[in-house]
Formats: sequence, structure tokens, C-alpha cells
Amino acid sequence: MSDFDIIVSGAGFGGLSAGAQLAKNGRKVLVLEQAERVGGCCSTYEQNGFRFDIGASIVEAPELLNRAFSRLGTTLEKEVDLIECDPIYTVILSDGSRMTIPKSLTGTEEAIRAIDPRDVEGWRRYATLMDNFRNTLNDFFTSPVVRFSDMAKIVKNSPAMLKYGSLFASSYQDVLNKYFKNDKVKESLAYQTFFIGLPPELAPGIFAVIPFQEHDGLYYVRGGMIGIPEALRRCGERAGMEVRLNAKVKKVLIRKKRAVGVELSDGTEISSNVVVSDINAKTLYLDLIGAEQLPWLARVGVKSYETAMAVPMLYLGVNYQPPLNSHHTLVTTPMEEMNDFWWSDYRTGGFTRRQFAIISWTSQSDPHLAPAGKHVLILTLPPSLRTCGRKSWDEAKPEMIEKYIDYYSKRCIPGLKDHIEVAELATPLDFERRLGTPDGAIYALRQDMMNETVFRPAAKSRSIAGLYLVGASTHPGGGVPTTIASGIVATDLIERYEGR
Amino acid sequence: MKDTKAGRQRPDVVAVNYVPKELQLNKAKEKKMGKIILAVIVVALVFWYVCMPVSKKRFLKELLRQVPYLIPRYFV
Repeated sequence: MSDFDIIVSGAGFGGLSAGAQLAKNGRKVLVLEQAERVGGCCSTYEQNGFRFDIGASIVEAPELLNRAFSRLGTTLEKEVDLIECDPIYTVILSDGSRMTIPKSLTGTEEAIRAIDPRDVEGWRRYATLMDNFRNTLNDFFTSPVVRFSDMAKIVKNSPAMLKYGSLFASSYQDVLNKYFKNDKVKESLAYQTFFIGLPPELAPGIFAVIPFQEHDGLYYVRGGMIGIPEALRRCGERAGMEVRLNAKVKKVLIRKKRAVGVELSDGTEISSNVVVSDINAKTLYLDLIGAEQLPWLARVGVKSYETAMAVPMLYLGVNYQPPLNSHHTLVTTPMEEMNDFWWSDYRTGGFTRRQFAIISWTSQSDPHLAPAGKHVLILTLPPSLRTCGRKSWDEAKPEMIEKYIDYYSKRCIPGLKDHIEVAELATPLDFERRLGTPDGAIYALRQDMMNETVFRPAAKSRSIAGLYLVGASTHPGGGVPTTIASGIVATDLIERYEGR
Repeated sequence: MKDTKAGRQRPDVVAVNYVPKELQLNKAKEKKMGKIILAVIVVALVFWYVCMPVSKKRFLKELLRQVPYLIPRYFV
């Protein structure tokens, strides 16, 4: 007799989404989280009265989140207070000019017209293509993709997807080049490629849907991004799910090629019929389970995965109103420079002259995140490896904080340098330590076509029975709505394959 | 043909693969054509690759580099 039906290791979006749904279905669920709060990469912490989001600061595709909440007998609207961000971005281009991108497609058309009227027609054609393409993806994110036959089923249910084959075979950059002529317009649409951890020339063309999809609405959570994982936790606990914080899983216990429970870092063993892992798949298979437990082909496969890019994040508490226009500001660099960055500066590390970033002015949407008259700025900086040039990130941190503040003060946030009360830098090394994700990559594994769908670690482990994966390292990949969707996929698989 | 005690026997060597000369010529021509077509395809591929922008080359190279891992990844 096991202690629990299900043990979920990791209280990120995927883990909480799966845990809450399984508890709702009547299973006895225990969620274990090594940190002192839930949320994983999407969490919020407080320092000197300022509330900072650790990782994600944008919610898009809320219909996917709503799908998870509706399975919990509630709605996203009831559980989470979402604030719509409109304009969705202000883009500060490399030449210093600014573009404000509103939610409406026609408004965006006008913003593009102001830069180059030739690209208005391209924008219309691009928007039509992406709208049609997106409609073919309805079930893609929440369908299990363990075998080729699962892929075949998805295509069978949505044969129109085949019409967009060229998007799978081309790069993000190819798509932008096809529809747009002006380099500044391309620059304004290229940044989103880093959301999936690749430069424009390497990211698959299908992800060019992101800049379009953002026009469905970008949202922020009142009180901080932790509001979503907290809501999932609340719903799960209402259904009997138990959450233990500060409980680090040291090992997944395997007997006769089946997961039978976990061992915590204090030596406690807890048994279960099923283990759901919301931990990076490489860490799970190589450290928590051990490569020796895997068949040799799976061993080769796990080791072959490359991590996505990690991003340092700068959390700033300031005592003035920053001169910005919107909640999200994209500071961009030309598309070719983004590519060059990947092949040169990204590898050598250190401070790059090709700076690009997302500035999230979260207290613009929710003033309660900072003391009265003060504000919170979170900068998602250019990606980096787990070292900073020749120095370790721990060593380089104070110097890099100075450099980043100096650069962004001069380039786009005048006065920033003189109004800082709190400045904290989370480096890839910090993310690696806090989240247990190799190289600190919050998107876990690369997201090109060779690491997607059936080639990504399967939601139902192919090597270990009773082991299920959720989170960024399994289908459908990294991101807020997608990791929540991974919980839906795992829940359906467990209900199908694991009897009571 | 040999005469032996057992009587007349079939010849030791029989030309079972006899092909008329005209047909032999056609076959040789076909082989040559095949080689030419192959060479044209190879040249076209090389030309296509050489003319490809650097970014496309990188995209393709990155995908091809990972091809050997596809089967192992399917077992994870």
C-alpha cells in the first residue's frame, strides 16, 4: 500500500496543474517543492517593500489557462485577477526610434505604416496566415505526443495543419523576410524568438505566430505572477491535494523499472503508485534516477539534449516614475545582430554591446507592487551561459549590475541610475541553483524541430513505468500557457494508463 | 558438344545471358544517362547550397547536426 496515489515533484505550473486536476479526479496527491514558495520560474518575492517576479512577467493565450481551471470546476476569471496590457509593447529600436504596438491589429497596421507603408500589406498577409495557422493548433497543445501515432491523430483531427508545412521547414527569420521589407519592422517583430530560446535564424518558422498571438491580449496578474500558481494550489487543496514546501526530492525510487516513490534530501522515503516530475528532464533522468536505469538508446537520447538559453534578470526598485510608455518595453537590436550575438557574444559571455531586453514595468499595471510613489522594473537581459566571460557569475555580479544600469540609463530610461533603491541580479547560475535546471535555462531544452513533439522527452516516460513528465522540458515546451497545458496532457495520460 | 559413353551431352558453357548488340548499346546509354542525371542533381544541390544565404545554411546545419540523435530521443 503506497503513501500516496501520486507524488508530484516540483510545484511549477505543470506540477500544480497536474496535481490539482488529479486531486480533483479523486486521487490522493502530494506535491513536493524545494523552494519556500510555489511557482518555480513563475513566482514573486518581496524585498524592501518591492515585489519582484522571478521569471515570467507576461501571460498570453489565457484560453489555455482557462482550460486547466475549467477542469478544476472553476474559471480563470474567478481565480486570478488579470490586468490587460494595452498597448502590448513599446519597442525601442536600435536607432532610438520608438514604436507603440497596441492590441488592435489595425492600430498595429498604423504603427507599421508610420515606419514603412510598404509593409502594411505584408502585415495584413502575415496576420491572415497566422490567424489561420493558429486555428489549426487548437488541440495541439493539450494532446499527448508520446508516439508517432499521436502526431498522426493530431494531423488527422486537424488536416488543415498540413497546409502550413512550410512554416515547420523554415526559420522564424525566413517568415519575417517573406512578409516584411523594412529592417526596422523586422527588428520590432524579431525579439519574440528569444522567448523560445533561439535566435531568429535558428528558431522554427511556426513560432513566428507569437507576435501575432500577442494581439489576443497580453496580461499581468494583480499582486504578481505568483497569483496563477497560488490559484492552482488553492484549487488543488480544495480537492484534497497536499503541498509541502522546502522539501527537496533527492531521488526518484525505481523498482523493477517502475517509479515507486521518492527520497527527500533529509532521507525520508515516500511511496506512491505514480511519480509526476516537474523537474528538468535531464536532471530527472541523469541525477534523480540515474543513467544506469535507462536503456542505452534512451541514455544517448537524454544526454543529447541541449539546454535552451538562460537569461540574467535584473530586479530594480526605483523611487521615481520611470519615463516609459507601457507595461512592457522591448529594447531591440537588428535581426542580424541578434543572430551574430548567438554565434559570438553569447558563447564568450560577459557584457555585450548588442544589448536587447524586455523591460517589465509591473508597478504601472499594479501600483501595489511598490511602496507609494515608487516603482518596480524587471529587465530580462540578453541570454548568457552559466559563466560570465572568464569570471563566474557570482564574481561578476556587482560589476555587471553597474554596467547594465549604466547602459539602460543612457539608452532608454533616463534618470534610472540616480533613483535606485533596490538592485538585484539573478544570473543563470542562480537559476540553476534555485530551480535545479541545467545551465539555469528556464525554457529547459531547446525548442527547434529536432527537440519538439515526439523528440522531446515524453510526458509518459518511455523507459520507466509510472513516471510522467510535466513542465518546460516535455511537450508542448516552455512558457506559461504551455507548461500549464503539459499538466493537462499528463493528467489525461495518467487517467488513461494508471488504474486505481 | 561432347560425345561420351552416356551419349550426346549439352555443352559445358551455355550463353544464357545473351543480349543483342543494340540492346547492349541502349543499356550502356541508360547507365550513362543515369550518371548524368545523378551528376546534375549533385551539382544542383551544391549550387543550391552555395547560393543559400548564411542564415539558411546555419538553420539547415543545426537541424542536420541533430539528425543522429532523433532515434535515441524517441526512446526518452
